[in-house]
Amino acid sequence: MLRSLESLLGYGVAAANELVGTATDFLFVDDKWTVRYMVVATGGWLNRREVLLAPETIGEINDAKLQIRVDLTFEMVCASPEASSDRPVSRQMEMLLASRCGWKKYSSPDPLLDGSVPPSPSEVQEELRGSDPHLRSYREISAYEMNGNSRLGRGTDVIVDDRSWRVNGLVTSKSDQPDGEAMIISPRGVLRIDWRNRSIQLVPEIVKFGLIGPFSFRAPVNPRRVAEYFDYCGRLHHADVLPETGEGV
Amino acid sequence: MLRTLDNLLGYRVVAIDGEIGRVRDFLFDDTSWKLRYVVVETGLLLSNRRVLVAPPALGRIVSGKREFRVLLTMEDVRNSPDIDTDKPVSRQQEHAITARYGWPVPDRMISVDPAFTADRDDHETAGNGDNHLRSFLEVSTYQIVHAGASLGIAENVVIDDASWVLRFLIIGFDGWFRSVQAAISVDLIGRISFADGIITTSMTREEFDKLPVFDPKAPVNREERLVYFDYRGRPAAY
Repeated sequence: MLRSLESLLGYGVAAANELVGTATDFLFVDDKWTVRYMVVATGGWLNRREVLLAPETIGEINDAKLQIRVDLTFEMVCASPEASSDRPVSRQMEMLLASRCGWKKYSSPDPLLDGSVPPSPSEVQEELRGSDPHLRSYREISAYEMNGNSRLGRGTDVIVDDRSWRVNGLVTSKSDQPDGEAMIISPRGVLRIDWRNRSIQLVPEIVKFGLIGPFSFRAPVNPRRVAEYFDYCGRLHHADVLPETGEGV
Repeated sequence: MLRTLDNLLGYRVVAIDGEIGRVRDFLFDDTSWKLRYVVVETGLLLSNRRVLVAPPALGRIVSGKREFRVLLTMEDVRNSPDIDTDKPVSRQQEHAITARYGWPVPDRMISVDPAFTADRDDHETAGNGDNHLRSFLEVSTYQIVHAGASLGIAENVVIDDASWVLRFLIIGFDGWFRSVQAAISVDLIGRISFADGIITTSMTREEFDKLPVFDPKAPVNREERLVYFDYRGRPAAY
């Protein structure tokens, strides 16, 4: 099913029928264009912890309950790697910048109470060694400017396939209205993502290559079988979305 | 789909080229338990008559719009033979209708069974009327009786709108707290007596008391269909 990532933010994450946390972000790689992690905020305000879950663990997405079911136990989710174990590019750059300027914002869990010396740029560079230069945060890049030959608009969403977790397209819209006129851009039309300018550079002549098309969030894109139950008076009682079988419908 | 008949009363009857009237009653056969006609009261445009529509001409029921579609044109209805629904429909009238619309001749095997007709009231076998044709409005006031004791009043009928066969009779009775309903299969119905206004059943009081309460809001009809969802996982209107 084609999904907007924006619509999944804030969904509850349920492990074995128990709510573990909330989906707060998705990290994807901009070379292979696949989602690598779902970022889940677990715990309460005191022991809040962001963990990374691989998209392979994601089961059914229930839009009626606003829930994403993961095929893990409660304990397994809580024991998942912390968000700091694999940082998106924007986070890596922020850390480097902070260390160069001597800020300690990213060096300790609580910068106000910590009296230690901030790490030197070389220490941070050492820590970031091996970090993926292609890992991008959806939350970070979703509002980047899209520039082709001219400015196309601001990013509003990223469409993914919720089976393969491949990025299907980037949505851009000229207006700031949530349902304004929007375009979808194929990932193949992306030249580079620029953190410094908060922009996404697209290939020139993107229209000529057919890598951009009109887009509507209300488009009927996902056919699914639904079982509807009616009472003796012919009124709809409730409807269940049936699990997809094999290669789908 | 299983439907209750009393909910369908008053539905607008819509022909291919426009509305022809409203559902007023249903006539069914009490031996085969098949629906035989829908009684339609036509509007002023069609000179306010009552016409009978047989199952082959019945189309889809659109509950959301309270609409009953029929596979006829307004011209067909205008030219249909006049029916006096206060009397049982005679064979002759029935044949006139079937010939007119090219409907198959209804199954009449059971009505010539002498063993069965002997069981009936003399009153009803007399004349050339069809003694098996019953009006839903009439029957839905009858008492349900087992061995001389009343179980309740027949209040409603459940029909299958694919085969147009009656399935259950809904019996209303006074429970210890409020009046409730239970469904009994039409197979357990013995005899319908017009003269006494009673329906006999082979179901005993003990069996009847064990029946679950009939809930017209129970989700009994399951239908599968393909629905298109949008990027946000909501059903898309298209």
